[in-house]
Amino acid sequence: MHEPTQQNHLDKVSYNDKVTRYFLWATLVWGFVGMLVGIIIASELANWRVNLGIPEITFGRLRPLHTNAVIFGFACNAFFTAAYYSTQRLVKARLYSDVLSWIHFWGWQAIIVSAALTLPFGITTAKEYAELEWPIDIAITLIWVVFAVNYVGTLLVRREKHIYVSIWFYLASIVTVAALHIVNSAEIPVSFLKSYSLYSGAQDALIQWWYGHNAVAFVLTTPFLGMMYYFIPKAVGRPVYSYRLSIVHFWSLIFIYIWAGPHHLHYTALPQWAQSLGMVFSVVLWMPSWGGMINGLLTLRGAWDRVRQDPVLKFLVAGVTFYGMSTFEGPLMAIKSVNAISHYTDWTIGHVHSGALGWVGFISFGCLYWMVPKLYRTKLHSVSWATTHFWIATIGIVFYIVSMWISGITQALMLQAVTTDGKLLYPDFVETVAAIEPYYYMRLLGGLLYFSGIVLGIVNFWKTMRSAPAPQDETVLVPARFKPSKLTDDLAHATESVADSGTLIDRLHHVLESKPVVLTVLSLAAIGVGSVIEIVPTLFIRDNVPLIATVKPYTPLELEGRDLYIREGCYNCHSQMVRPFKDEYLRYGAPSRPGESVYDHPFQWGSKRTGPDLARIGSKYPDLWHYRHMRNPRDISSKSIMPIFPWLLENKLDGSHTAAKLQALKKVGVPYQQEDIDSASVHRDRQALEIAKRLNEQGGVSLTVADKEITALIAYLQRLGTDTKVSVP
Amino acid sequence: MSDKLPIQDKPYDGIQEDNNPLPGWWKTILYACTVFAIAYMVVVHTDFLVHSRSDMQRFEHEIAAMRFRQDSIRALKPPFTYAELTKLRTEQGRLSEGKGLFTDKCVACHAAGGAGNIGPNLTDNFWLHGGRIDSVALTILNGVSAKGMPTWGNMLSDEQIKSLAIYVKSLHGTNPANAKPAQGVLDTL
Repeated sequence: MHEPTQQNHLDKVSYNDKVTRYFLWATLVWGFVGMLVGIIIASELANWRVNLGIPEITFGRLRPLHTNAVIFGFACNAFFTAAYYSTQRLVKARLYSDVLSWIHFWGWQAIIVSAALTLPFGITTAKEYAELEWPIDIAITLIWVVFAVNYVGTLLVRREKHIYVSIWFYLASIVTVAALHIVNSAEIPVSFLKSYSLYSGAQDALIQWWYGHNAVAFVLTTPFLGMMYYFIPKAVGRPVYSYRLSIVHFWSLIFIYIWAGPHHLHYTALPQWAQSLGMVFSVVLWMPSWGGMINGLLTLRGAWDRVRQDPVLKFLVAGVTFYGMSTFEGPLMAIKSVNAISHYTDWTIGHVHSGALGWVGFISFGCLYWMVPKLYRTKLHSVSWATTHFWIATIGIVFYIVSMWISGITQALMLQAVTTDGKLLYPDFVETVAAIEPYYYMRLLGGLLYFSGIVLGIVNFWKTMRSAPAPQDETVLVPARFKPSKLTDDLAHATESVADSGTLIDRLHHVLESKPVVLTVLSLAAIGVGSVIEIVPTLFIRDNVPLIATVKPYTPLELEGRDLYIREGCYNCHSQMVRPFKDEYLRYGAPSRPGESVYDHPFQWGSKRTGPDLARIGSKYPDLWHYRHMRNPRDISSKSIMPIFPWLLENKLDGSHTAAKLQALKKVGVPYQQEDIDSASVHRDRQALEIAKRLNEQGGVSLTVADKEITALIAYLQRLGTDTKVSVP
Repeated sequence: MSDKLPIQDKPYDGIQEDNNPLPGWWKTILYACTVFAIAYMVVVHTDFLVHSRSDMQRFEHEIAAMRFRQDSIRALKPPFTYAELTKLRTEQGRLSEGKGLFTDKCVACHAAGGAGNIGPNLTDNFWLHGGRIDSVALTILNGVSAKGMPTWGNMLSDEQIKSLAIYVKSLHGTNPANAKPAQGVLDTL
């Protein structure tokens, strides 16, 4: 039975290519900015002097700008460009609303600009890839809703009855990102640019990495799989390898991906059952990921020779290959015994960059090299430049990931080396840093190569645009709106004379493809299962986070110090989480327990140890040690690569919100009493004076230090881990 | 091989889809990973097949074994005796090894030459935790956690601690510039 898919009459539709071209340039601008910042921070790791003592460009403040600019500036704009370009053509309809399209465009760019205007100034929530403060979080939500309405609206006015696999991936990405962002960004405002996470400690950690890992999944993976499904068959002119594989890997991928977040928290104070779920789902995720790679690569079957001439295919094919590599490496690193080595080291940094530079970057540029000539109705300025871009970038990636493998594994093995009589072979953390410094230069070289490729690409696009005729929207003749058929009829037709279960799946799914809203709801259900099973028990079952009686809330001064720790981005290089390993026990003390961070809104467990763990730094050194160390770490540890923080010794502590901070934390469950809040400033100043006196006694520091930021930071650092410190007999 | 999709009526913007079956190796690995996942949860989180130990229990076991080994070694031979350390003071290389360690680990707090800064002066006659060479070695070994002196025994070998104590004692009476005022009690042993 064939439905009457078209009547004789055709409508004229013009695609909104103008907004697509704007998104395209936004992709390039933010790609340039984000990667330039990446190069700056890579240089700062290679040589601490590079920040020139300027607070705003110190590693801890700039690294979040790098990740935000690349993820939300470069990758998201690439997704918007490709999704708007391909979807209009796949459903033969103009974007639902020009107004919404432009609100989406300018709103999103304003969000990235606001990131650049807040993060370097230390305005951050300290949750990785979700650092933006609450007003910007609200703006993200609103603009994302505009995008979703515009996108789904376009599907509702579509001229093709069925939606193609690219669109399934785009839809799943849109709803899941919305859910992740809203849940993870729940926070209680203190002032216009300061808030605390609603969750604390182990619960905050779980939700953060549920978000963080699935930002990788639904911002950096599924949109790009959608792009792959459109641009590879377009560029190579061959049929997609397997429709059934696309169904199976789409649903298995989104269902399984969402569970894998806890692999970022192996051996931490997260309950072990959650860690185990994170690990095993990561392992099962391997093949669903590779389903996408197979469908991408095998679409080129019989046309591999085309890769030799066409830079578009070079980028796309290499991108898919890097995808295959990182989605093998990911499950491998999620296995706990491997993770014991890789976690907190540069190996993770290498892994994320083989995904970001290799997969996201190459798919983006493959698509851009395909779209630019179409959107400007001319030929690419230079194909050989594009090919050069590809090769420089590829060599850059190899330098990057190989150096990070060597550095990560070297450092982990040095840190874990314990002699048979129970001593650390490399007791000083800094010795292991000195050993890997050459690889920081090698990584910088890799980044510079990749960046030069991008610059070459941008110049190529610019010249192409300049030589093009005045751009205009593509106008096409499209079939009249299809006549909706009844779902029951479609289902009856699908189940008619079915040969086997595989065919049944294909046919039922084909029916689903005519119902984009139902497909979206089902995607949300697929990601809902793992989310609920992992998050709900951790939030609501007390046994998962047993309280420790001696653990008390921070004093007002310590809390201010903690906010400075967050402002300076210390968590970017220091963890506060001792894992149950012999070497960590010898180096840092007893393993961290979930009850120790119940008052930490947000948690500060960290994800990378460029410097040592700080969970038990409290009272390990005298106050003067910290004072001198913050002024210049080399005065204490000659080989240290930590930046200098002299401004902490000069800036007066801004205590105007101290009471409001306690009040806000009380609302989210920290047991401050009303008298604590009332006496917050008095208590804060008294404790600061005590520290100032000690600094004065220990090293003749002037008592004027009492109202400086450094005393607050010292108070916080000296508190860490002391609530559970067992006195040594 | 590739059977043409029976249900796709027309290409999407020119894109066709074949419907090749799922690769056999792909399905096999997917099933194997799933079996591994279930087996892992059963083995690690139940006592159904094997007695399982949590990460924390495994850790505690490891540390207990390490401590037992260290205690056994210590029981056979106390780490530092006055007699041995005094004899070692003239041994070739001890002083230079101790000086190297001191420069590396100690000057941050005790300043070059032991003049004292964050930590006390090590060159005078006054000591907080005993000035006899075996007391100095024991202080290095155990640290003074209340004052911020690390437990070097976790990081240095007994031999290294001996050399360090020998070097520290060699600083006695050197009267360095900018020496920190005396702390503790007179102990000239």
